[in-house]
This record gives sequence, structure tokens and C-alpha cells, in this order.
Amino acid sequence: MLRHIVHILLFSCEKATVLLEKRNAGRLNPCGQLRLRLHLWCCKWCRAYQHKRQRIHNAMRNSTPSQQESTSFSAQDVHLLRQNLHEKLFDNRNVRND
Amino acid sequence: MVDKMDEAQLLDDWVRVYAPKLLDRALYVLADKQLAMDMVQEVFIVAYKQRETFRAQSSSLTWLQGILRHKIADYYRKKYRFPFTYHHTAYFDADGHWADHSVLADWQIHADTADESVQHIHDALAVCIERLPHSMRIVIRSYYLEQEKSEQICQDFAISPTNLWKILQRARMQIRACMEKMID
Repeated sequence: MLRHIVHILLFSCEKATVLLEKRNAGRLNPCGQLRLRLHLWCCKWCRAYQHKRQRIHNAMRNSTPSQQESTSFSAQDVHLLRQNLHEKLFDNRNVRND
Repeated sequence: MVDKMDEAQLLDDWVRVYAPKLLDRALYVLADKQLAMDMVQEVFIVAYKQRETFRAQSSSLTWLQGILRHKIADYYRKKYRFPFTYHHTAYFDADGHWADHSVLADWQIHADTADESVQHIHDALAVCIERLPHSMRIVIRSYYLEQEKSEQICQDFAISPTNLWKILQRARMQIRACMEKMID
């Protein structure tokens, strides 16, 4: 019964999980923020999801290349890239091996 | 001839200094090494052809990263012409309530130390993010790469803000469901 009231007044859980994204981007209006906060207060499922969402969010934020040194490309890969560019843009004879 | 050599030198300098950073960014978003190489190659070709404009810019890396951003968005728009249609998923029932109780499960891994447990969860998250469908992963990783600038992502990928929230929600749902299975 409580679940139905929550859904009628304070969004469905599906909608609430989408609105978490909107709120995170700072695009949820004050009324929406209040209703979402009340939904989370009433709904243990969405509260649990919110915590997990935050962990996923933090993991994604911390895994961008600007946060981590990559080792996926070797000097050989970069040399190959340079060679291909010379072939496309200049005469092959201009490729130097410095 | 001297000019041509100078220009070749300019290109070489760009590649030496900026290629590793651009390749890392491209690989992060595209998750395909050869595709990342091709994409960065195109970035340098465009940059070389527009080098006069480039010289007027304040930051070379920012300019090159901007070209890469547009190249990735072009690739996405061509490959995924109708990228996202939203409908009810197995995660929710017809009333929009959670379909099962799996979301309530703790993400706790039994390990000898707390650090080990954190590391296990971190590794599992990395695996689950990698398992996202390609189209979804491109959008969500671009979103994080561009410091969560939603307006810019919507513009680049030609999607509405509402669709962006739904893509992010769907991606997190998939990552979460994957995590529940891995940790179970």
C-alpha cells in the first residue's frame, strides 16, 4: 500500500533512478529534488541503489585516462602511427627514423 | 622543400608529444586498439590540414582533444543511427517498481583484509564496465572523459538530455546487475 502511495506522489522507482542522473548533473528543479529525496527516504530499494550508483560513479570518475597512466600503447605503436601519417600526407622518403 | 621538411617536423613533434595522450583517450572511449589508432591518425590528418587555425589556438593538446571528441561523436552517430529506444526492462515491473530484491544485497567480498575486499570490488567494477554494450560504453565514457558536461555530450552525440539520463541510468543498471552476479 505504502509503495503505491509513494509511486503516485513521489515517482516510480524506475523514474527515481533516472532522476538521480538528472540530479547529479544539477538539472533537477527544487520541487523534483524534494520529491526525489522523499522517495529515497521512503524506499529502501532506491536507497540501496543510490549507494551502489555512487560507487559505480566514483569508479568511473577514477578510471579516466587523466587519472591513470596508461601502458596500452608502445613506442612502436606511436612510430607506426607516425609512419602511416607520413605515407598519407608526404612522400614516403621523408620518413625519418629519429 | 625546406618548408615541407619543417611541416613534417611539426607533425612529428605533435605525434611525439600528443599521440600517447590522444591514443589513451581514444582507447578509453572506444575500447578497441586498432580503432583508436585509426581515429587518432584521422585527428592528426585533420589537424595537419588545418594547421594555420591550430597555430592561433592557445593549447595544442586541448585543440587536438577537441578534434578527437568530434571524430568519436561522428563515428557514434554514423554507427548507431538509432542508438537508443527506451522501454521497460527486466530491472523493473510494469508499475516501475524493482522487479527483484537483488539491489538490496551488500557488495561485500569476503577477503583476508579490508584492502583486498576493496580491490576485489574495484576489479569487478572494471570488468562489468567493460561488459557494457559498445554504444552505451561510448556515451558513458565520453561523459566522464569530458568531466560530466552533459550539454556538450548531448550536442556531440545528438541526443536529448532526457535520453542521456536514461542511457546513464541503463548503463549503471547493467553494471549493477553484473556486479550482483560477480559478487554473489
